[in-house]
Amino acid sequence: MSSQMQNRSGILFYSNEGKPGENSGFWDVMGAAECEFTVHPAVLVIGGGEAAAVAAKNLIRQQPVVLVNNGNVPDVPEAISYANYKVTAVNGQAGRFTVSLQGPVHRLTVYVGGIVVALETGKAVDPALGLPQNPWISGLFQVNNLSDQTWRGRSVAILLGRESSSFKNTIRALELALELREKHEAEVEIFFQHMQAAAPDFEYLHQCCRRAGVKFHRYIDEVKVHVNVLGVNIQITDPLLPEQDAYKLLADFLLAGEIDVPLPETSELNLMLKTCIGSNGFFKSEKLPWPSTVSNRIGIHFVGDCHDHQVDLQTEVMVVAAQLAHYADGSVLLPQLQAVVDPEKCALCLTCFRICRHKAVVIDTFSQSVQVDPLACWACGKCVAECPAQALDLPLFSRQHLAGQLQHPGRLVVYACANSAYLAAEEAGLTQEKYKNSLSILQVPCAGRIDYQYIIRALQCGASGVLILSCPEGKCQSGDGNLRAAARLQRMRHIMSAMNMDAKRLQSATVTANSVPRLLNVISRMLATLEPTGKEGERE
Amino acid sequence: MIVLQQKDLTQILALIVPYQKILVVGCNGCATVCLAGGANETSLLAGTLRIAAIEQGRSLEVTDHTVLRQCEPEFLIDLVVKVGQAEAILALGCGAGIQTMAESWPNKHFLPAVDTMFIGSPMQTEGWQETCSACGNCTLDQTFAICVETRCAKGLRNGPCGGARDGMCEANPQIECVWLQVYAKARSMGQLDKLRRIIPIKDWSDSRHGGPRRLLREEKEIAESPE
Repeated sequence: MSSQMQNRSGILFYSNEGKPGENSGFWDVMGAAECEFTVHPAVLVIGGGEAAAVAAKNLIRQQPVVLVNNGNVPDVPEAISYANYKVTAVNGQAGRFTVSLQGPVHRLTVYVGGIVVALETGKAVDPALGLPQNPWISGLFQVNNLSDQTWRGRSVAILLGRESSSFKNTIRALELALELREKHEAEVEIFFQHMQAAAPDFEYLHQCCRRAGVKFHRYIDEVKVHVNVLGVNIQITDPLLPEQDAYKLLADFLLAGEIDVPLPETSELNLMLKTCIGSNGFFKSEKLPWPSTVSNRIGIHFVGDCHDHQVDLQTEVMVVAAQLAHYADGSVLLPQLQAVVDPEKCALCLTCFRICRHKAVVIDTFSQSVQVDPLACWACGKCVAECPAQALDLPLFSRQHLAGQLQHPGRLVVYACANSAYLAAEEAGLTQEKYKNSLSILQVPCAGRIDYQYIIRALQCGASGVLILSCPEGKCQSGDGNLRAAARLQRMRHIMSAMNMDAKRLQSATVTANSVPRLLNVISRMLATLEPTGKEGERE
Repeated sequence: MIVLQQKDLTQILALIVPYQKILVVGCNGCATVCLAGGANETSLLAGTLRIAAIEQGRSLEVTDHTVLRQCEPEFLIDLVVKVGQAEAILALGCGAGIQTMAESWPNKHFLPAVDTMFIGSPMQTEGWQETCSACGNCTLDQTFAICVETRCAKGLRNGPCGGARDGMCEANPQIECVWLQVYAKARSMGQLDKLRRIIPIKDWSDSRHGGPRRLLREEKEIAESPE
């Protein structure tokens, strides 16, 4: 018999109860009790472009869809569409979002289980090119009307920068060049650093351009553009020509590559959704699991051009549909892995509320306590480790659980993050029985779960050393779990120095899931420092 | 909130040298909220002492317990058995908490494991800053709800002194000039004229010059008076 479960990223997976070891890498969730939650089956899709249309059309097959956009909405039969409506507030957690919408006349509230952000992007001329504002200079995609007589016989330069030589820009440039050359007999010259046209059809297009007489210039560092009364002067240094022989062109028009820029409402929406925005202004999705549509909050997904780490639209939409499918029935069955608050111990210091990256901690002003929303919690355990009152606990990584694991520890106790180092350790076979005298590799949901008790207990139970293996900096799915673990380890090292103990007994390292050699290196070096004479032969 | 800071471990180890049975008591009030003496820190300290004892090869029995608030005698009832078994009690509470406990068990040694720092509030980054000095005569209304006596290094009641550099205090370049903050707030609220008049001298007679202060509430007795 198989039971349906949800892991932290919201992806459904199935596990056979007869074979508990099957989901290696995920925790053994068999011991956890299950609980059923009522959720709203509908999904809110925000956006008006192609991404929103594809997402809505796919999602409508499995659950109700509400389409909202500040402008037009795509025509999706059966979906409830609100054109010219603006999202003004988003409350609640995964499965139970309450979204307020403000329309031209009415204000309304929708109750949805998940939110899909499928905003379009705006286009702007690549700012890296440093082009002046001029009517003779425009973006590649701003040119619409090619039948105009203004183009006939003119000299047109097309300029692609480093950022703006993307696939879309290159294709657009080639298509425009061919049309201008063949239909309007314009002189077309394309300036590029590198072009991306790595497909048979596009290579054919490129050859057509060359045959039609479009000139291609590759430049190295920068391109100088200035405008005078005669037209647009373009000067480049050609890699094949001597440096003093810079190539100069006086063109009538300059068409420049464009880059995607986020829509102005992105930052506003980000504040309401409590998600993250990257330095480029786009939504920041979690890199893992790939293909990534997951935001830092469960139930909120990004598709299309509005987020980083994007793959093709169809794949993204399929992944989102799979992740939101479990809300479609109106109820979700979840194993109880999530953090639980003991209200009697809670001192309401709000530490958990402030550090939770997944915004799963809710302040309940009615009962004057904090609560962790089980549907929104990733069960990383960062809050459990940070709680000064020990009022939080993770059912599968509780203090009693730890005590049980540490009854007969090996010489070196390794706490390995389940997302990275533990996978590598399993691959390397270090979790096998035969190493248990020298190595105890214990899985933690995130390095951020490792509190002082983990370190102290291991030392008390007779381990000579403790090694914390976390994800590399900036790669923690829970934000800063790895950094917090490292900071705690640093404090423990100070404490050990104050007790005249060897602080080298505590160490931390960053390991990714696929870096088995590094893991072996780190562990063997640590074992060597613990006992200089070392039993190196125990491991391969 | 009262903000505490844990003492250096070497200091704590020196404090407990004469004793073999130690009880570490945490407090679930301010000490927990300022991350210095909650259940987590209490068990950390207890665990550390146990390891230290193993390393030093001395016999040391360490138990730990966290009470709801050390400063209320009623919450200390849970401790009766544990305190009875201990030789000394290492307390992670503010000075008021430790003294309340010490009054309940006059024959035990109470050792502070934390330093009571100040009354403060959280800053934007992780940490706290002193915002109130419990002077007993609150005049926050005159300075746009920013306590200048506490937060100005010179305690100026009419400022700024003119020594600020880039908005930072000349006495301590790590802290902002609080009078510039008052000015900025007055300006943003459009009430700069309020700063034109001289704020009169404060009555400090309510502060700590006549020994410890007492507050008697005649109309509302806090406990039933003994006959």
